[in-house]
Amino acid sequence: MSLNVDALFGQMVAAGSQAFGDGWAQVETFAKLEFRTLAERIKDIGAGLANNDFDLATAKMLLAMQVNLAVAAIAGATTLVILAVEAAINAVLAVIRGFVNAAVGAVLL
Amino acid sequence: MSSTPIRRDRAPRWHAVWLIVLLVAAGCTSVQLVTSYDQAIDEGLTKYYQDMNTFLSQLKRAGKDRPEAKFASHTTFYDQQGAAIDTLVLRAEAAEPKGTCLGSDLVGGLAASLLKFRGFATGTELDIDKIVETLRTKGAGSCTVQILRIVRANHDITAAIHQKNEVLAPAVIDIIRPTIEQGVRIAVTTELAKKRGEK
Repeated sequence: MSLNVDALFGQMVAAGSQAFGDGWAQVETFAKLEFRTLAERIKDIGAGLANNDFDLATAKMLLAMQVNLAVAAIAGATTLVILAVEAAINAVLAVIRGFVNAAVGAVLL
Repeated sequence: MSSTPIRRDRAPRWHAVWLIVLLVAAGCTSVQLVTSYDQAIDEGLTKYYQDMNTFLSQLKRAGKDRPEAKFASHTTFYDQQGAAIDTLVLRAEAAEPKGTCLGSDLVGGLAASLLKFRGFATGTELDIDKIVETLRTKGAGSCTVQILRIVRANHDITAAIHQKNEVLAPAVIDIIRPTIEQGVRIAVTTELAKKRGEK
């Protein structure tokens, strides 16, 4: 189960930046931290198995936990992107509200 | 009469403009795309992490030959902690009953890219396609629900490893502890981001 942490991390980041597109900037710090941590821990599982610290069945379950976390990281990053979109829409709506109310001279919106 | 077609790469911007125009026309002065910050989820997860962290420290200190290190001594603890997470999942589900997580094609693309990691999980019995499909399925819950379910799933796997091996070896605890921490951190980070967005 030997693997190159940098290679795994690089592939995760490449996949993330491609999939999130313009939204990547909003989640880059978060996603990189989580992906790097995951890659390092997957390497540790491989090392532990090689050292007979635990058996293959245990290693598989530990690895399953890491794959679960990869999904959680994607779900978390998704939330951050949606929050950024929400903030952008509300900022535009606030500008429109201010413009319309000022033009009408009353609180219309 | 000729018309100038809208270029495909500009179409999303027009969609955004029309969305805002429609929202204004409908009298919407703000929109909410994600459920509000939930203090109970934030505090519940923090408590769970604190309890698990203490528990794992005690197991590591106990050593493998002591009765208090055995799985049989801790079934109630695992059950109670699992039930506590279930309560948080329930709250999140109630806040957004029809929520989904990977709703947009943009984000869904990342799920597809995740499949490329299959090679790194060779030898496991995991069905990554199924995991990703679950994220996309309507009724599977919002992102918050799905993150909490993963915290629960990893809690169950921890118990399963403990049960299978009867005790948790120090090397296993050294992997499980940061794994649980990371799951809780992802969940708490998103909750706190919601809180910041509400200011």
